[in-house]
Amino acid sequence: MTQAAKLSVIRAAGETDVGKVRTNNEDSMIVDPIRGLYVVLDGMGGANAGDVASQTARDAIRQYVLEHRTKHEPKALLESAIQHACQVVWSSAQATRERHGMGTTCVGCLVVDASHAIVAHVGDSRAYLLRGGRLLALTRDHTIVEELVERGLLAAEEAERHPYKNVLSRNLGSKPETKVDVVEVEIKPGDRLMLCSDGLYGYASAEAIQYLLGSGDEPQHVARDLIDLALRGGGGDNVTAIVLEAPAPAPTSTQVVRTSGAVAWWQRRTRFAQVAEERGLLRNPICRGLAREEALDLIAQSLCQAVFHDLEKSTGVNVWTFAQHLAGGWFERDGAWQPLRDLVDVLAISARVVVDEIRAADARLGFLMDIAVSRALVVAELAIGGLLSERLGHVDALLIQVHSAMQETIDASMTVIDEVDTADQFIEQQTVPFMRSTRAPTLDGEVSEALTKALTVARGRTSPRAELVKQILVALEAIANDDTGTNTAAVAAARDIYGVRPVDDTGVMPLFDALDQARVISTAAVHQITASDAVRASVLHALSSALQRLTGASTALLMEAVRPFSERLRDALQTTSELRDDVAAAERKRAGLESKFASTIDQSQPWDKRGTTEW
Amino acid sequence: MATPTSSTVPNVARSYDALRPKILQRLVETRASLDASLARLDEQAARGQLDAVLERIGNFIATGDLGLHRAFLHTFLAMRAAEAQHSGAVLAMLVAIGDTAADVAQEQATPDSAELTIMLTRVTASTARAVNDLIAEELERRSELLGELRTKEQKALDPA
Amino acid sequence: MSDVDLIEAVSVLRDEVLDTAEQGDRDPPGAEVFDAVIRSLSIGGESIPGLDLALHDAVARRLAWGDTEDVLLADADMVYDRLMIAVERALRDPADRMVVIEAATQVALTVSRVVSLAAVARAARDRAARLREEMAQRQLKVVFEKQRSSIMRLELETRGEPDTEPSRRDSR
Repeated sequence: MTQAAKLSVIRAAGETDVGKVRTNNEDSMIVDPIRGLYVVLDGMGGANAGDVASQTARDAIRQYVLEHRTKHEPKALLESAIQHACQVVWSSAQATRERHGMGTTCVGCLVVDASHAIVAHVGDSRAYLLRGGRLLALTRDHTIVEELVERGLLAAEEAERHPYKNVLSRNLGSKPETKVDVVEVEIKPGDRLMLCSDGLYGYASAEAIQYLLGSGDEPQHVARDLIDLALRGGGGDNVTAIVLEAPAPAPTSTQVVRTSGAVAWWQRRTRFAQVAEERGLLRNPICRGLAREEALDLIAQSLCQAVFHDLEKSTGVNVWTFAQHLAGGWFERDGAWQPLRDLVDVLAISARVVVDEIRAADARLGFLMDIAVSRALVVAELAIGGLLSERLGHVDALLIQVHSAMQETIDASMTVIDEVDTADQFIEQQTVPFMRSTRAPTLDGEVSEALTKALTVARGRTSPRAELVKQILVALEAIANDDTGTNTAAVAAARDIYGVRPVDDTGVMPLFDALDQARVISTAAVHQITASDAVRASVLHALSSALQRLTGASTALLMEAVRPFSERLRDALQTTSELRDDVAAAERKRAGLESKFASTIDQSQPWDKRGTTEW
Repeated sequence: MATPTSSTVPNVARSYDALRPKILQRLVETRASLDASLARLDEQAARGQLDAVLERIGNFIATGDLGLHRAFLHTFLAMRAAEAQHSGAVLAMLVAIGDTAADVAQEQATPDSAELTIMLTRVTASTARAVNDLIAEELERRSELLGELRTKEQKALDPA
Repeated sequence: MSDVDLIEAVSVLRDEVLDTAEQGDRDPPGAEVFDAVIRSLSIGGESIPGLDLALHDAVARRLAWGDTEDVLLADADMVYDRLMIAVERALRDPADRMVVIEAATQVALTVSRVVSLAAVARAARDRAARLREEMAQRQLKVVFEKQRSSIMRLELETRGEPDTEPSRRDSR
């Protein structure tokens, strides 16, 4: 779906996509150039409630702005519109059972005029400003982790590895009101604004987004390119992006010279290819299998073209794309690092030769080209670095997977509950750590008898293969009749039922499934016995209480089994912290010595010939 | 070892030192656009981190010694990795610092500014190149480790 | 009592069960459990995804804010206890009490399941995080060794040189 908009001043376009994994698009957007209103929303909630939430909020915001735009000044208008949407979504969630808990994020931009806009948001959909080729975040995610960091309750560096770093602290719909963050933005000529859902930044690097946004292409093409970037990165979520563009500034003298530089560069493309060939381009393994003309065209000429276009538009997107394709293709063929490094070095040296020749003809042009070519090489390294970093992450994930599988056998032996230590500790203390002291209902003779009857019925209706359920039903009777005032019976039964099981979903789920089945069967049995309602209610209460204690004791054993993992992690973190301190101290010392060393350097040597000491 | 002369440091290194406070101020002001983790730090902490990087850039300009610079980058990467920062993000931050320094240099209307601007862009290019080499080395080390673990796992599953 | 009346009768017990007067403006601990019981009563005890998802979300949010699993379980246990006491007192009809007991039992078990799964997920994350720390430690150790040797060489190179302040490169 594309909504292209042409404004007399601000041009804008938006794109949205369901992504590669989801079946339903719970994102929605507003692209309204007439009112200067642009909004991205990302809905959440089970059973298709997410798209209901985002669409409800979208319609509410649009309607509110339509009706109130002459009554409020822009900042209050946008904030009030979002607040109103929150109320509407919340009311809708309360009115329908299936929509309980639904909500949506929201990031909106209201363009006031060519030089001012208001940006407001709730949640983790974001707004960015691109100015001078640099991307700046205008919003800060409303996640619990960010709030903890802001309040000083979590160190910034721990935020990166926090397990709940994506859990929202605010959205529209979970409460009738929410806090909206609003910022006024000054727009300068050439600026670009982008609103997006987490489906974009969660699947594309900031650098890639920066280069695409700064490509100079039309907003509608850029919006589509951003979506494609997220899809190539995995597309694991719905993705939406709106791109707004302020009018371009008048060309400066530097830009005029840059265009001349681009022409001068392009005129020397044959020379570039010649130098690259002399420096061994065609002998590089990456060119193996390619004919001479093909290799020169695919690599040397392509880079030349990329640099030319980037010079013309003052962007880096073409070199970025070239480097990504080159390196990405090579890595996909399991290519080693050194040939790629050698190839890039050949291209870099060739580029410098061409720049030196341009400088010999025109010093000022040569100066600009020197900087431009250095920057182009940096862009190429950035693109390659991004791919390397991805591969490193992938290898790390595999390492963790393999290592975890091997560790499980070791860890499994550590999850066997030490009968002497753990359970006896509970029995001795007669408490489960998080359970209140027992307050089991007292059973009189009639209730006790009815309970026995109910459990007999329940056991009779249990499948012979459901051993664990039967065990639980037997335990429930013992626990319900335990009048010691402790959790002794519950803990003993839990130990038997828990047994030895892995500390993962495959170990935990069957246990709770069995507890749940026991609950269902025993409840049904209570309704089947012959007894007064009062007696049945007492039996049900007794069984419920017994089940609560058994579940509590089982859960306590699981918590004990899980405890060593966090203790070992804590130890590892401590070791890392100590190592970091040592490295930091050594680095400070080395920095001082380095400065001292710098003062002894033989300045008669050219800068780039002073050796590359492998320290 | 070279005998110190009356001027042992090239002009461009002295120009850089003179401009360093301005570069640092610009970096502190725009740190949100450099890196998300810098944005989270308070100004003093950010200033300290950024100044440490600028100092090392200055040493590199003065010495031209890529080996020393690479050693600093190796430490920098390892420390950031211990803080769960991706190497790609660290590379981008270092490039952004270098680019900003070059921008500030280019804005000056001094006789040295052109030379300093070129030096800073080249330093940034060398930095990016060295960081990628370091990432590639670490990737190779971990890939080897993965191979070893997989072999061990295979042996454990099939001792015969 | 009709379903609607029963839900209303239980809802009015909220302040008592959660001790909201004591909590003031804060969300009372265990609120997610009580609200889940009300939701369970609203859907007549059938299990729908929305119940677990809402409870999952509430548990995830409390864990994200820093509450431990033990605290969550203790709050759930407290709510269960207090609800049982309140229901015994407030609902005269045993049939009504049975409906509420069934809902509370189901919710209590669900809470234990959700918290246990969260604990197990945390264990897996902790294991992965420990491995990442060990990899980071390897990197730091490699760097530390290189630092030590480079410091030795720099000390050798600069022996006899006067100390200079790192940030000043004045001509001599």
